[in-house]
Amino acid sequence: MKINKWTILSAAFILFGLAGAANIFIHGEHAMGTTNKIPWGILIASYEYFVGISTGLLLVAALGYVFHVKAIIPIGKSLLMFAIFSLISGFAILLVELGNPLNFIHYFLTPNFTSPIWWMAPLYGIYLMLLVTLTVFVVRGNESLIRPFAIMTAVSAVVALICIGFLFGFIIARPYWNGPISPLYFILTSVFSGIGMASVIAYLDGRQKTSENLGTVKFLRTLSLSMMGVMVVIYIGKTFVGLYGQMPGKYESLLAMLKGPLSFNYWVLEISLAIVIPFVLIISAQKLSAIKLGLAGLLSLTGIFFMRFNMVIAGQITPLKVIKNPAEETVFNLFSVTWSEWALIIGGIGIMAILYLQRELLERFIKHKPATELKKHGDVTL
Amino acid sequence: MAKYGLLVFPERCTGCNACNIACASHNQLGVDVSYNRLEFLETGTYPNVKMEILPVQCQHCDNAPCVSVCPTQATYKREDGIVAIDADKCIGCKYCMAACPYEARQLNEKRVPEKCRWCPEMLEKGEQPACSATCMNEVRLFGDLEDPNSQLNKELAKHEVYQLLEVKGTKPSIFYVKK
Repeated sequence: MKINKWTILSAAFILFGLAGAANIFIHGEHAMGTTNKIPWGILIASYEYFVGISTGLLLVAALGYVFHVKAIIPIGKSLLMFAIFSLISGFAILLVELGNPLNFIHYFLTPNFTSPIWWMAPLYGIYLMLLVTLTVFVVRGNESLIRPFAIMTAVSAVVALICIGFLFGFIIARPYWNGPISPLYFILTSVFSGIGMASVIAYLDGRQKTSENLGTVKFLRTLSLSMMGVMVVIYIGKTFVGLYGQMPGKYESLLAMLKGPLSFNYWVLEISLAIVIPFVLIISAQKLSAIKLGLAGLLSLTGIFFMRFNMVIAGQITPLKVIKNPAEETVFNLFSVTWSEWALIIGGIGIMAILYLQRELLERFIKHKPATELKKHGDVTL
Repeated sequence: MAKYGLLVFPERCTGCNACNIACASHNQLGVDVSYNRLEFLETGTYPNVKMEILPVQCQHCDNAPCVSVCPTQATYKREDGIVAIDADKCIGCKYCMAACPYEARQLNEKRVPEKCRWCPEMLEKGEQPACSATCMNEVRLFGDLEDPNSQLNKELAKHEVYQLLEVKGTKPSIFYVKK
């Protein structure tokens, strides 16, 4: 096991996360910022964030393994591994967020097929299995199996993302979430987060400048800028539709972001960090710069975290009044984030980081041939 | 099999909150938990203003979003129309809380989103639940929607009624008398 200052820092993050988890297990919902009016808080946003990165990374990797984009192949293995680690972080956070995970047996005993949350487990389960299988084939170099499995994994990732989209889109009670575009929104924003993380990985993996690495950086640069363009279209669409129609519930939530209690989060932490600053950073680079692209990716990832948080909170910040006086001013629901929740998120980052730092160990484990195969070939050295 | 329903006379409500207290006492609710609430709406302009009070609780919808979204069927619709909760099956995902347009769910100490049960143990005995029994102005009238001779159906025939957030398509089992 490779131990350096980054491993120690990651382990410290995980310990902090465990402290937060312990506090939530002991004190329940009191240790969280959620309320009866805002039942889903930053942990649900974080779960979305981590699984979004995972599926996004896989879809970026699929460009290489399915569509033969050569620039992606050099970092492909790292993208797949990070996709697994990110998913593990997301699941770990969700496990703590669930109030009664021990009742999970009823998921199988009395399933409700009309619930998108029910579908999340099998769909993400299938995705994880395919993702691990694909990673094994890539690490072992089973060339003939990589493409078919990459196609299947990409399809499963898209289906899982559509399910998250339905999870929010089906909720008629929350006009800000409700709608048919929700699945598409999740697919596109996840790809955006995948590109951001791929940019960071391209920097980490290719600090020695090679022509191969420059090709990757060049491709990711184009991909980042294109995706930022797509995101701008999404933002314009969401904002104009919300403002123009003034649909009750959706309109107030949008105003909460544009000029209400979420405005700092929205303009500074979401729009600026996810799109504006990374765009300027990439465009301003004179030559192809892996470090600037990596930094832009890191900023985008930070901004996308707040994008998830803002989306989750905006859907619940407008009070669900059954009767409303049109002349009455909207008093938004209060929201907060506790140290335990922040600790869990930092712990999630720690899990991702420590696994990534130890990925060589995992690679060695994957490459290790099973004993039966070795015996068949007369090789007794295990 | 009876199909329970409730008729509410909002104009009779004085806002005394006795229903809330009786409910909390009967169901042994914690200090932060309340299964029913009163919503207040000021209308008119000075000096001709008035306060409307609306008792709001779980609507025991026929097309209940909380039932549809619950992954383990911890929330289910009984044959008698009551939307009930089996706390032992609840994984605590809070999807029901996010999905309920009436904000009827309240998280208890065990991290189970609870709500009004319509006190089936009392309805089955032909009694009114605690909220209704305690109300000095008989704001709530429970009864059997399937029984044409029930007091509930007689009153429903007499008054013009509406349901909350009908546009959401939840088909509530609670009817409110129009003013």
